[in-house]
Amino acid sequence: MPDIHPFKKKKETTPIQKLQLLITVVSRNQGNYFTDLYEKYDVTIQSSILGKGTATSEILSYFGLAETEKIVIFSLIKENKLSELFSILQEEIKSHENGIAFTIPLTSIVGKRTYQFATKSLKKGENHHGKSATI
Amino acid sequence: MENQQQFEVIFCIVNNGFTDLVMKTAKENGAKGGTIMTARGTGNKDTEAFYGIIIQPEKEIVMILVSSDIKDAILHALYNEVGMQTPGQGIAFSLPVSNVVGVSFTSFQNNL
Repeated sequence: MPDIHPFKKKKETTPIQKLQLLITVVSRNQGNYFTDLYEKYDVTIQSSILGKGTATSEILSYFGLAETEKIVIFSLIKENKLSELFSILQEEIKSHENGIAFTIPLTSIVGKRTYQFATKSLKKGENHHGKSATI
Repeated sequence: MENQQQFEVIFCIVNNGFTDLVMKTAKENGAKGGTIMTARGTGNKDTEAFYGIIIQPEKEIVMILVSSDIKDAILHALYNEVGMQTPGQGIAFSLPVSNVVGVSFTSFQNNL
């Protein structure tokens, strides 16, 4: 008879890495530069949305440039990569004028494989139908 | 990291063409700038099949990063100016933000 311990986990589980939603607003032509940069920090899920910036400068509106074309990038990033990325972002954003970036903590995400994909911890050939996934 | 001041991000979803009013209202209450994204609403079933043509209501989402101190003032002003009872039919909500780069603090303080 197999030894069953319903409340005992056999495997050692790795601590769950929390995710944050990183929102970046930069000039439209710099979108690829930032998505490429984020990929170095284990970011796998990114969506870019076209947006318009509303400039506050009176000089810009004088020239009829009150609205500037922007790109809004939504990326899922692991919390332990944030401090490293933001120290670099501070310099990057300064050199690319009129850009902002900020993060919003996620409260939940569903799907084991989704989570593994988002945290880049998915191993090749892993069981496609993972057990119920709650994080 | 520029974490000394608390920030929140306000999302305001309004009917197409009301972003100027949203930004005017927000700036009057101390916001510095915002980003506009276009979107489609899916809430109103009545408008979907109008004269046999499917109409998807066009919406615009305005994203404004503001200091926590002035968030309430902006949300209240947005409710009065572009709230559900106005032609703008807007929804505004705010989310906490944990890391911020790219906001110049001096210009923020000048506006306060």
